[in-house]
Amino acid sequence: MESSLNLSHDKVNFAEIGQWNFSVGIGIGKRTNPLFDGKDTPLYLLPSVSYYGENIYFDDGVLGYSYEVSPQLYISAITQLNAHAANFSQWHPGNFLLPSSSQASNNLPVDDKSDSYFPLTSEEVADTPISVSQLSKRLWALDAGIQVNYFAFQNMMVQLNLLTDISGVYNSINGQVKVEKTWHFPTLKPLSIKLSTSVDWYSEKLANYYYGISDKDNQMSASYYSPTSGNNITVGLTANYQLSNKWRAALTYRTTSLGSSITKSSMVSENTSNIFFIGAMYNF
Amino acid sequence: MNGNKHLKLLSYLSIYIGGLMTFVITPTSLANTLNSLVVSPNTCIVNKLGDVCRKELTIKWKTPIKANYCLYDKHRKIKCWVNQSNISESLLVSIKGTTTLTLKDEKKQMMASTTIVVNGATSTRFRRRLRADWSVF
Repeated sequence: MESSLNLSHDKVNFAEIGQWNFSVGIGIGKRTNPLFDGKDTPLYLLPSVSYYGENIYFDDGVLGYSYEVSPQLYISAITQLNAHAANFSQWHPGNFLLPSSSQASNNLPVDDKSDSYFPLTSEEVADTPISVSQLSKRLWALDAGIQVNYFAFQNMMVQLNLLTDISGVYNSINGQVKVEKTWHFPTLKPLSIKLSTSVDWYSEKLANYYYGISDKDNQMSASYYSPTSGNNITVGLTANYQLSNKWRAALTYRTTSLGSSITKSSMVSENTSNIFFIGAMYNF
Repeated sequence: MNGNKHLKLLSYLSIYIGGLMTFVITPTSLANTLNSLVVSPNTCIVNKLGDVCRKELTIKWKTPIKANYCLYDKHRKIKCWVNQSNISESLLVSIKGTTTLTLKDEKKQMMASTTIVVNGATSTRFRRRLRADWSVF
């Protein structure tokens, strides 16, 4: 069992019960948008809010009620926004809180030349990238479901969740398996390094709602696309260095390899989506 | 005659006082004053409130009558003794939070009780965060 001294200093992994926690990250970073003509999100200021009661908790957009089966095993009922909509939205929390990036260049090989009016074959239409701005609106979905966290030996954590759309947006389910391992160094106590990997499974209905192209998008029928279910695979590294009781330096890099049924969509231009941030976190 | 009268008065008075004493000192109240249950130590310090206190305690109890008695933590039976009136022994107990131990007879009538106070070493309590502290979509 962790000593109270360690707990009070380890604000990364532990929270004081009954207290609101506010922190802000100041630094430089970027979240890339894999959609064609999609805007990357610059990361300069990262606000973070959390509250942990005996059972209920809120942590950066996740609202949960957890039951401690044992000090190693927690089962929670959670609700959170589905992150797939972030690529389509101009109003997701990041874009709202952070300065928006300059308009990404439009690489559509059409419009500025008269030959764009020549008829295209079905194959050419299917291969033509479709800008996110040409698509119908994709709404935010609110998911809810069950999450299991198992804190295993040697600072390992396994997290499973199975969520369903409760907002009637894509009317289906998604799930995740995540494994994290944190290293601490006796010779350099302020430093901790965490490696994580996760597999995010998405259903066919979810893929169709966000990445499918149909008559609702007002595109030529040759470009219609109905993706199947699939998996996004993420690998991440986070390093924290505690500078004082309030400040710590943080570095994170996360890359997500998108499932092939998503990358085959004409609206997707990149096979991966990445997050990078380096800066300092201040706890109020 | 007068002496007889006084003697009668005294005997009535003694019967009255005796009756009064019988009424005041009932068997139950006599038992309550004579029963005792002492646990030492009677405090337990855990790392944080909510943790289980697992500790060897010295239990001493005494009753005026030899009988079968059991020690309870609320409704949970910890240990029973057969035909005893005086016990002093060590017991390993596990309790979560401040707990009242009671000694009861076979009819579940409480003979004596005592409280073990559980204190946390830290006034603030912590729990694991269930999500990375800052996340970006």
